[in-house]
Amino acid sequence: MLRKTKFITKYNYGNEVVDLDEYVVAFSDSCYLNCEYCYLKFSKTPKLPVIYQNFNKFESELKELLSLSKEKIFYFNFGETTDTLLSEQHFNCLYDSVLLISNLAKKFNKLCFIEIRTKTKNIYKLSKPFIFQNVYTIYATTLSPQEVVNNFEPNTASTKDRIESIKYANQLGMLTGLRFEPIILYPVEGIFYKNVVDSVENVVKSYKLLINEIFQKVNVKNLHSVTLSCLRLTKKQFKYLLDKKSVLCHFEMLLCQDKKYRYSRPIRVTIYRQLIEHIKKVSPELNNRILLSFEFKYIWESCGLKLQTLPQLGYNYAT
Amino acid sequence: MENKILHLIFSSDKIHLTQSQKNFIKETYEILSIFDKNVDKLFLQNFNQITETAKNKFHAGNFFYKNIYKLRYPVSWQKLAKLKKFKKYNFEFDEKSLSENLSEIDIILNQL
Repeated sequence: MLRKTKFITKYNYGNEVVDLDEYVVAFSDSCYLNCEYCYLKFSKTPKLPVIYQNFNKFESELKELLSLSKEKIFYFNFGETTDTLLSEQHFNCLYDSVLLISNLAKKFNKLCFIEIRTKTKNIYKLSKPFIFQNVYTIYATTLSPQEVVNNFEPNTASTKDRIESIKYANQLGMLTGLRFEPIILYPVEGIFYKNVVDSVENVVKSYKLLINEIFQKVNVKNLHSVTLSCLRLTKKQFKYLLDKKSVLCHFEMLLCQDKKYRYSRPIRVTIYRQLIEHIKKVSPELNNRILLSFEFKYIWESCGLKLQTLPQLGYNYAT
Repeated sequence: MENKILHLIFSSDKIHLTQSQKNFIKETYEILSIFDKNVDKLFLQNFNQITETAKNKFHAGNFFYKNIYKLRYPVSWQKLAKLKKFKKYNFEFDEKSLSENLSEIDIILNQL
């Protein structure tokens, strides 16, 4: 299949949401992992995963971007429209794309970061080292407590496997991105105030255990960034999930200015603050590498985070 | 198809609800039912108590709607009630835009 629209687009975060300044590369569309909260089911994507064949179109868009833009550092997300490591075809296309980005980045004197976002453990099927000039690849695995994986991400790798796979990605030469997204208020203890407080406490507790496990196993030196984001649902998704009586449709979700449902602010900020504090405690060197995804400026500030973008984190790697 | 309890409430001549209030109540019923099997009882109990004591069907409608709102948003309704004195009616704003006591606002906006 040929891609008719652009391969490379600046990510549109939505009204008032902090822009992390990343480019989405849609080398493939759709996914069969079928996570319950996935927005791809509601976007105009093919039902079955496709890899676009018109690589030359990608090449010319990339050339144009890197040659005309004044930016020195670019952050490309390969895992927004599909799971980056979904199949062997995905690996091959990814490899070719990274190679091309490296060649053009060298030519135009740019530094590029490429996010490989996955919920699989397919990284083990890669054997070639991922070390390229002017390019850093970031193995950004999405991490949730196993209970969340069991209930909402049925066809994905276990939490344990995802953590283990980080070590292998590092061996291939990739940096690590820890993606605590989406943070889901689950299990729900009940519908009253105390139940909500208990649910939040339990979620925070299970994420703290998860963070402890990760930092025992993962080499912090390879960590590029940590992102946190609570579940958000479009109006369409909310309605669809409500019809399906999904527990993702939490009663304490409110419509925000970007027209997405999120848990009410006291819940979100309580979760973020406690997890940020815990990450800083476990690994103080990550102090300036924690970001919120799809959140508003005032939420970052309420959590004591300095606003920064993904390319800005790249200055630590620029020589 | 409308649930029995909702049908009983919406068709009662003891209570007046606007269409948007009915929609909200219906949606709340559907959401809360996912998490609690006793939502029928809760709704009926609320309805009976209110219709017994309210001055008229309009008062009954408003009280009932408010009670359902409190059930739907067990955290937010309390917090939003406290925010009203700052003339703010939702959580999504920069608190630094207010010249009030920030620690008091922080408790409302950012803590459970």
